[in-house]
Order: sequence, then structure tokens, then C-alpha cells
Amino acid sequence: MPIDKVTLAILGNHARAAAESMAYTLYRTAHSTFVKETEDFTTGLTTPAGATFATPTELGATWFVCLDYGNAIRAIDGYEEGDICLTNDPYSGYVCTHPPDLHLWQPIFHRGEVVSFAVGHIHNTDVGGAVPASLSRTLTEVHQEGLRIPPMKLARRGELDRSLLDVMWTNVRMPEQNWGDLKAQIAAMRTGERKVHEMIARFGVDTFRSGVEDLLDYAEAQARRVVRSLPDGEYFFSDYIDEDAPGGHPCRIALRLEIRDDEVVLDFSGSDPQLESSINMPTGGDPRHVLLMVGLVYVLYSLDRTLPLNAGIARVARCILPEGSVVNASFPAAVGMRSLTCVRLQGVIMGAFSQAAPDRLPAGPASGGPIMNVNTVDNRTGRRVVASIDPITGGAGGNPREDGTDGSGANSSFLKNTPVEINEAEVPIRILRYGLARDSAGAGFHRGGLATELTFEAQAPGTRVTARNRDRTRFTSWGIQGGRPGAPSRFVLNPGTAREQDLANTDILTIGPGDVVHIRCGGAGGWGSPLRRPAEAVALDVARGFVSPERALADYGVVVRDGVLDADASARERERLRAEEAAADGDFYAFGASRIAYERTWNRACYAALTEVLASVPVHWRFFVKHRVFERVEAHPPDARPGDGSEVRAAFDAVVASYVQLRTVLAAGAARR
Amino acid sequence: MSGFALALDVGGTFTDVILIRRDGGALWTAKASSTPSDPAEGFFDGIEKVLARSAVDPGEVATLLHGSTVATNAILEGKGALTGMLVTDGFKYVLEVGRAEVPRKENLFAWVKPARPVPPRRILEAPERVLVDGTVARPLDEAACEAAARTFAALGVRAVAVVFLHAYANPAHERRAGEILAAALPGVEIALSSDVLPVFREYERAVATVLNASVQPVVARYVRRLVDGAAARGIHAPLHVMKSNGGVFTPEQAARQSVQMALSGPAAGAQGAAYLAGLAGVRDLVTIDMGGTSADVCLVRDGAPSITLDGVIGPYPLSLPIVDIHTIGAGGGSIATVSDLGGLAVGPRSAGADPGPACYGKGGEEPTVTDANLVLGRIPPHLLDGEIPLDVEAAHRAIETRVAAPLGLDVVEAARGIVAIVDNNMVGALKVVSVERGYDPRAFALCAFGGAGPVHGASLARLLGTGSLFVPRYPGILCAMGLLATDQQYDLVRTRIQRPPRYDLAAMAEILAELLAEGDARLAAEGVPAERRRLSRAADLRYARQGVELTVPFEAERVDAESIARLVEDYHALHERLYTFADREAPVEIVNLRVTATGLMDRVTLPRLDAVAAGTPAPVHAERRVAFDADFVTTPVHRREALRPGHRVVGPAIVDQADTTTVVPPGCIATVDVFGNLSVAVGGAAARDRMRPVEGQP
Repeated sequence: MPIDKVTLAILGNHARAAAESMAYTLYRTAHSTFVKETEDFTTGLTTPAGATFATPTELGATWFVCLDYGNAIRAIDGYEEGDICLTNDPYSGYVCTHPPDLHLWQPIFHRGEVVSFAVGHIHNTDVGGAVPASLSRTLTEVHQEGLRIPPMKLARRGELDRSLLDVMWTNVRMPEQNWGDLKAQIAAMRTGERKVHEMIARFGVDTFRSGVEDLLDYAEAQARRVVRSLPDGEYFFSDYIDEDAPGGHPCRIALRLEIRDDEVVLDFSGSDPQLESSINMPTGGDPRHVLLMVGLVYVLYSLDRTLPLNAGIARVARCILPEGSVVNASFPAAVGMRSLTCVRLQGVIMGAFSQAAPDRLPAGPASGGPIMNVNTVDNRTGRRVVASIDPITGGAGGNPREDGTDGSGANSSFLKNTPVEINEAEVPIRILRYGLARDSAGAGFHRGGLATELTFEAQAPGTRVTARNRDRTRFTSWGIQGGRPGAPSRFVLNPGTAREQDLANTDILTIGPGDVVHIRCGGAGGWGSPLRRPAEAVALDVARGFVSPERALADYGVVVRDGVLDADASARERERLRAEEAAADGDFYAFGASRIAYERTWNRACYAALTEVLASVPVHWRFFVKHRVFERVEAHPPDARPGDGSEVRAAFDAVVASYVQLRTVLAAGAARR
Repeated sequence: MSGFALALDVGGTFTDVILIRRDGGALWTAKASSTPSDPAEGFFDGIEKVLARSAVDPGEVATLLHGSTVATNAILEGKGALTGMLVTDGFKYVLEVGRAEVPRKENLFAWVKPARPVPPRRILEAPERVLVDGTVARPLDEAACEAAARTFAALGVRAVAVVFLHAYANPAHERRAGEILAAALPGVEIALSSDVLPVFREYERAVATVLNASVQPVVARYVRRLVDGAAARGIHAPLHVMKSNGGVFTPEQAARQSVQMALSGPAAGAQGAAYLAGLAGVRDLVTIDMGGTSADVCLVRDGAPSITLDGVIGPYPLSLPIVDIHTIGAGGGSIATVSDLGGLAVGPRSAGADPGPACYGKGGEEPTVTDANLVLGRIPPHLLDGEIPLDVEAAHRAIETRVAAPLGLDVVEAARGIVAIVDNNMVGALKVVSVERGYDPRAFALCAFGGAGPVHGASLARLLGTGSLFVPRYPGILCAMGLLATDQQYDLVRTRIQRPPRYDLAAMAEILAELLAEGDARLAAEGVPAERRRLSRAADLRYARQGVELTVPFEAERVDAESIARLVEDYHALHERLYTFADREAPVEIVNLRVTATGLMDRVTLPRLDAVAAGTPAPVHAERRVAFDADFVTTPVHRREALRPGHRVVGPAIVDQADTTTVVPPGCIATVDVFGNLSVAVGGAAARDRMRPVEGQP
């Protein structure tokens, strides 16, 4: 029986406060600096079936509101009071999404019955495996990414399993830190349990039980209403990660979005096969997997700020995630660095929905900036210093109401930077410049947000610079409704000197004293035609140093000389550009030059053919076959490619012909069918 | 102690005034309307009103204290002076980039970064570079400073902030640039980051410096007017102005360190609560000041409001020591709304003072918390003892049409729902400052004040689990009361990062000696006699590579290996108390050294009331129909000014006074102390022992 609305509102507040309280407890008591600095953790409360009905809003990964613990919960038989369970295996139940994330859940009992679960995870700095911190894009199997624990009990009736802990601490590099963080997680579970008991004491168990279901139903109803406000239809959008391996081919994520009344289908069937690097997503094909729901929640919440945030939202969606693809990797594909793919995926979902709601959603967000680490020696002390210096972030896409925010937001997540003064105090480098990058934003009526850039000078020989998650050197963010794409990301050694070297998507290099490194995130896309932007606003951007006079002229048709706007000359130039714009076909999306060039060969027909032929070979062959097909297609001169997918089929046939092993595999598969 | 103390606190709507004989012989209060367009007028009006009411000779006023929002409003409304900034070459966007972070509750794809106090086109760069240890890597380009001065002049700026990298370690370049700018820009205020906030973290230091620069001219003009105007009215007592750290300073200092006033408003309230509760022997409390649009919450421990370095004004960080206030959008004017799908929410949107709640009859149609309280009979059908009648019908109608009907409830149920929701919202904030910081609310009393605080206090105390509620005698003018309980206080700080095992003891001793001398000289210059000067020392420490420091007292006479070892151990212990663990293996960095210079002010004595026999039932002034948890019951109404020490008020009961109503629900018993403050036992666990951490232990 539904409970009354006043009680429901108060129950909802209590539930959120309970999850918040769990998060505060965890945050306050966690040991590792990583947890405090990145807040890469979640806390929450779920129904007995595992649907999250309460999450915090102030601390942690606040948008993972659709986490479903059902698979993990069902993996354990016979819960008793005081039990706490855990897993960090991405392939057991698909709750955990890479091994550093240690998930806990604790049954909360009332009179012998489970009424709720307290849940949550912490990203551990290290869980063992091939490399310190357990994460590297170059890893190829999940076995290299650290110790994995399938769902099991960490505590039985309040007694911790010491043997399990011994195994864990034997396998990780900094056991004290993991133990400190685990204690904080356990404290959060206990807080959640206490808060649920308080809620039951206050509301009664029946009201509590039906109330939490009502909270989910309410969010679902609201989400359905938002979806119903969008026009029915089918929308297609795709985007790329620059490289599927160092120096490799692009990795495509494709989405066919179907909106029917109050439901959405997100079909990722055209996405690339899983990769032999660690940027795969382990979703198990779950049609409402949280990694996909994050993007959807951002979209729906952008459309309606009153949307209650819980797992009820996910009920409006169904995802199609082909097995063996980058969005549903098969065991034992490595998954540690799936965050790069997740970020691109959020953009793809936002991008597809923007066709359905062009006047309500933003253009493409900035991304591709790395998290920078420096490993060097302090000349004064001889001490080796290894430190993360800054995430190089970018801004948000231009939106229907205003310019995209500069330097942070959207795909740049919630990460804080480190002050220049602290970086220089801790890491022996000299920072020469840190700020917003001129001309990085996509032009538009509402331009994209500018990227940040960092320039620093090494002081010692053998300084190793790691730029984790480099991307967007080739494929940039996109503009919509006439807005332009953002600028690509840049990574340059010794810019403006004879020794200048474009490092593109390199993610590790060694430099010496006096070497200067410049790194810039990609820029965000613009919304609406730049010719509609008031000339005064463009002149102001020039005065602020956001746009050069050259780009003001080329992109906006605005003439600024010696800092002064020439209104007449601008009017004439804009008139000319408007005529040009009217003559162009006016696509909804505006992509960067590299993408346009790439898609002259790799258009939708070719990708459809590629998807089809790759689906015909076993999962462990697909990445290999994709590369051979690319080589053969691109070996043909551009004018010899018909562009209808036949060249892909021909290339595939040639690949099959040249590998007897593949022919055998295909024949065996055909026989089985 | 002879003479009178005069305290004036300017709030958003009213200027509250207290005039008191310093020996406790007499006390007068007055209220004047605040005059936002020229706040000094409200100040003078308040002085004239209270002098007229008391017939005290202005020449006998020996102490003049003032809490002002002039700096706060100038910052929040962007009405400071047009300000420019000069920064190190390569770092023009220090404000725009900030810490790059987005609040976690924001939608990343829709978040809009708040505008910075100085836009990039008024930020110029000067070639120069100082390194982390204070050495100069690149000399200051003086010609560039002169060129910058010309640009600033052309832009018409009235204030300039100079913020160079690592200026806390060596201020020479900032000082020289400041001289060049001052010479080239007569009449323009110059603020140096090495003066305003000489600690590391360039963004936070830059924000403090630009805000200081922009409000300097405003505050300087304002305090000059106050001093002149007071003198013209015969008051020659020295003026002291409230700071955000809970202390006061002189007009001269206020004109230079203006940003230190920015968060002083709520600080005075917390100070007043701590003072009054302290007189009643209550040293640990959670305070809530609930007004029309928002509620300010603060934790008071051992008689002192807690202090934080993580202050925020509007969207900007302010890393100066300030009284730690947590503000939420819950007040009497908070609006109740029902969504299409039947979700009920209260606030954060507020009807404010105009149009105000529906019952104000000024055109407001949306139901508010005040309307709900009126419908339930918890507040009287008028404000200010009948000066302003309230429209019960309008309140009823608003709740009926906007809440009750859509939800299928009757009006009283709906009103009760509105109050229950806003109470729950406020309890969330109360928990943030208590439970979430590791304290057990059962060991605290709740102190409720502001116009709406005492209406909700008992219910909040019960929800929070404190055993008792404390309602000061004058809950509407507690900020003015707080002014009477302040000392002059200056916080001096310097960054010098020290890493183990090589703590530079000599350098630390030298910095401390400098800071102590500076603090003492500052007090001496203010005319504080030597016996009233107090200098205390502290240091900020952190585990290596952690982003946050903790401030630890450092009272040892000498800086030596032993005293530093003790300091480090004190840090571990504090960390353990706050975060449940200490990492004694980890290297501990000593980052900042601090000196607080306090000039003790005279304390006033509050008048004592004549007592009646203990347990005497309080006189009943009238009766009112009030709805608590059940149906309306006929409830005795007491007048606050009729209550004497010894009186007992047994709930259900209502205590009305001009500027607020104290609700005493069934099951609660209120007693009156010698100063007229109410203590309400709300039932439930009333542990008054020392607080202890409750959460976080597995």
C-alpha cells in the first residue's frame, strides 16, 4: 500500500541523510590520501533485492545512483545478522567494474528478516597485480590487474574472516592502507545499519518497506515523464577513442537510441570489439548496468532538475550490449582503465539525446586531458619523488542557455587540481604556465568551454612523465546546431624550439633538465552558429585572451584590431560568412577535420559491414581481424573505395583467405550452428 | 566598572541595539530598520533611539561595538570597488581555473561556474618569479609594473590586488610592485597577498586578496562615517567592529583588512549563544539561528564557537580563520511546493520579506513555514506584539490550495507535514556540525534563536537527540548580545613548509618570534595595555602529501626537538580524534605557523532578575488553540517578560514575546534562569557528560 506523501517526503530525507552519514563516516575514517582527494567511493542503501534507493549528494561518486547489487546479493546463500560480504571481481555478478573497486554489502535485519542492504565501494590505491596501483592501459588480461575476490563473506555474524584478510594483505603492495580503508568501509556499513534501524523505529517496518519501494516508483514515474517529453524516434550517434592500442586504429562507440513514449532503448550494436588493452567495460550485458545508467542519469537530470536520484530511474531504459564488444567485454579481458571508455560513453549518450532535445542539451564536452604523474629526483636532496601533479581538464559543451563552463565540468569529472605552489613544493619541477588555453573552445552562439593547459620544465635528468588517459589528439568534441567542434588535445615537448616534438597520444616519456613539456586538454564544442554570437561578446573573448583575433575573424567573422572591435568590418565579414553557411548543408553535428577525413572511408555503411563481419568470428579473433581489415581497406587508394561497405567485406574475405586457422574456426562454428 | 556599553548589529531587515550599564545595573534594547542603501543611517538611527529610550548621557558610553554586513553585502552583491589584479607571468587565469572542482551534488553537464570577482581582462601579468624557498628566479620587471599601472588607470580600476607566486615565502616583489602601483595610481587601494593571507595555495590567497582589495574602499568610507557620526552624537568611545573569527578590531584595521569582516554576521550570533549559555553553565551546544530565509548552524565546544579555515562566501573560498557556520535554506519564509507527481518539498526557495508568507497579506500566494505555524496556532496571529496583524485565512487558503488539496490531506495535516519536513531538513544541518564531525549530540544542548528558531527548537532538540533546549532571553537580538562578549583578536600566519627529519628549528623560532613581535606591536598600537595582551601560538600540520592541514596549539616556550616532538604527537592525537586513526609511521609536515594576538576587552555584567519560589507555575497571560502532534488543544500562553527565575512552564504551553515565540510541546518542561533565559527539558536521554566520538569505529 503506498504511504502518504508527507511521510514519503520525510522518509526520503531520512534515507538520503542515512546514505550521507555513511559517506561522512567513510570519508572521515578512510586512511588513504587517494580516497580523500578523489572521493572515488560510494555509499548507499538498497532494497532486499538490491535496488539502490538512497545515495549521498555531497560526497563520493554521487551520480552512481542506479547501482544494482542484485547479482552480488544473490551470489551469497544464507545471510545472518552481522554478516558483511565483499567482491572486487568485475566478472562475478558485474557489480564491481574493475579490481581496485572493493564493494561491500551488509544485510540489515529486522526481527530476523532482511529489510535492506547497506552497500558501497572504495577505489583502493593498489590491489596487487602487474603494476603499482594495479592500473595500466597496456595490461591485457584481468589476471594482471590484481587479486580478485568473488562474492563472499568478509564477516560472519560480526566476526571478520582473518584468513581472507591474510590472503588480501599478502597480495597487495600497501596492506596497511587497504586495511585502513576497509575499516572505514565497515564503519560506513555499520552506520547504515544503525540509521535503517532508527528509521524503522521512527516509521515502523511496514512503512519503511513500502516507503523505499515508493521512492523507487516515484523516481521511475518522474523519469518516465521526462522521457515522454521527448519526441519519439530513432537517433544515431557515434564517437571514437583515438587509438585501440598504441599507434592503433580508432575505437568506435556507436549508439542507436530509440525513444518510444516513456521508454528508451540504447543499442550499442555498432560498437567495436573488445580490445587487447584495459579500456574494456565489464557490463555482462546487463541492460541497466550502472556504467551506462550514469550517462542516462546526467541526460535526464539535465532535462529535469527535480528528478529524484535512485535506481527507479533505470527502469525507463534497456541497453543492448553485444557480447565481446568494448561495452560488454568477455572474460578475461582487462578492464582496469575502463574510465576512458566510460567518459566517451557518457558523451555518446548525451550526443544522441541532443538530437531529440536540441534546445535543452549541450554540445560535446572536452576530454582527452591526462592525469599527469612525474617521477624525478630532487637536486637538493637526491631524493626520488613520484607524484601526481594535476588532472588536465577541459570544459563543458556550449548549451542552449549559455557558454560551456571553462576548464572544468562535464567529462572532466569532479577532480580537483593541485595548486601550483603545492606542486612546486613537493615535486622538483618549475611550472611556467597553468591556465586556460586560448582558441581551444569550439566556436558557437554559445561557445564551448576552454581547455586548461600546463607547461612545466624538468630540473633533473631521467625525469619520467606519465600522462594517463591521453586521448582526443585526433578526434575532437563536436558542435551542434551550427556550433563548431573544440580544438584537439596537445602534448608537445619543447614547444617553439628547434627540438619541438609532437607527442600526440604518447603516455610516457623521459626528459632531462631544461626540457619543457606542454600539455593541453581538448576543447569543448559550441552550440549554435558562431555568426549569431554578438560581436561584442566575441570582442570580449578576445580581450579576455580566450580567442585570438585571427580565430575571431575566421570563426566568428568579427574584426578586432588592437583590442578594438570594428563593427562595420565585422558586419560585412559576417554577411559574407552567412551566405557561405546558408550554402552549406547544415548538419546537426559539426565534427573536427580528422573525423570528417576518417569517415570519408569509414562511413556508416562500412562500419555496418565491419560490425557484421566481426560478429561472424569468435570474440578472441575480433580485434585481430579488425586490424587486418583496416590494413587492407586503407591500402586501397581513397578513390578506389566505393564507400558502401563492399570494400570491408572484400577485405574480410581476403583476411579469411589468408589465415587457414581462421577458416578452420569459422567452419567449426558453422558446423555447430 | 562604570559607564555603558553600546552594541549595534546591522542585519538584513533590522538593526538591533543593546545599551547596557557595564556593571549590570540596567539594559535597554531597541530596533531600527536597516537601511541597505546607506547602512550608517540605520546605525545612527539605532543610537538615537536607544539613547532617547534610556536617557543615558552619550558621553557615558565607554564601549561602542558594531557588527556589520557592509563587507559581506559588497562581496555578495558585487558592489565592491572596480578591482584589477597583477599576477606572475603565466598565471593570468588563476581565478578562472580555481581548483577546477565542481560541487558533487551538481550535474556535471549542466554546471555553470560562478563568475569570478575579477574578470580576466582586468588581470595583468608581470614577469617575475620567486621560488618555493623564497629565492628569486627572475627579477621583477618594473617597467611591466608601470605599464600595468597605465592599463589599470585606463580601465578605471579603484583597487588593485597583487598576487605573485610564493609571495608568502618572500614578499619583496609584491611590495615593490605595490609601491610602483601606489605611486602611479593615487587614490587607488592596493592589497598585497603577502599582507592579506601569507599562506600557500595561490587560488585561495588570490581570492582573499581581490575580495579584500574590492571592499577596502567601501569599508574605509563606512567606518570613517561611523566614527564621525558617533562623535557628532556625543559618543567618543573607541569603536570596535566584529570580525569573522569571533573577535573585534579597530576601524583602522577594518579599513585595511576589510575581508576579515566578510563572515562576521553569523559569528556574532554564535558568540552570543556561547556567552549566554556559558553564564548558565552550559559549555557545549549546537546553535541554530533561524530567520526568514535561512538557518545558520554552529557547534560550540567548551564555551567557544568552533573555528574553520574552510570558509566560503558566496561561491568563493575564504581561507581565513572564521567561526564555523553551516547555512541551509530553511526559514520561516521557505515555500512548500507539491510536484505534479505528488512530491512535497519545503525550501530552499523563500518568499523572503517581500511578498513574504501568504499570511503577511502582501500578495504572497505560496504557503510557507510561517503560514503552517500560524495555521497550527503555534505563533500568534500578529507580529511584534500586535503591531503587524497576520492573515490566518490567507495562510489557510494557501496551504489548502497548494498543498492540502493536491495531496488529498486536510489543512492541519498538510501544515503539520510542512513543519515536519522543514524540521527534518534543519536536523540534517545540525547533524552535519555534530554527529558527522564525531560528536554525540546527547552531550550537547540545542540553542535556538532568531525569529523562527524558538518556534521549532523543542522539536529539533528531540529529533537531534539533545536532552535540552536553551532559548536566550532576547533571541531576536542575540548577535548584538554577542558583540558584548568579544575580544580584540588578530590572526597572524606564515607558511614555511618543514619536512621531517629536517625540521629547521631555528627558522621556526625566528618566524614565531617575528609573528609574536608583530602581534604584540599590533595590540600596542591599538592602545591595549600590556597586561591585557594575550599571545597564543599554533601550527598547521599534515601528513606528507595530504591536501588538508590541522591546526594544533603550540604553547611551548622554546622551539626545540622536544617541543616539536610534542607538537607532532599532539597532531597525531588530534587526527585520531577527528578521523579515528593516526598514522604514526607517516612523515608529518609542519606547514604554517600561527600567532593569535588577543586584546582582552572589559566584560559587561548582565542584569539579574528577581526570583520567585522554585517551581512556581508561570503566570498565564491568555489561551490559544494549538495543534501539536494530535488535535487542537487549548494551550496556556505566557508572556516572556513576565517570567522570573523559579517559574516553571509545563508543556503544552506557548511563550510569546515581541520578536519570537517559544513553543513548549507536551512532555516538555521549561525553567527560567537568573538572566531570564529558558531551559527546556525536552525528554529523552539527557546526557550532559563530556562529548565523545560515536561514529567511525568498526
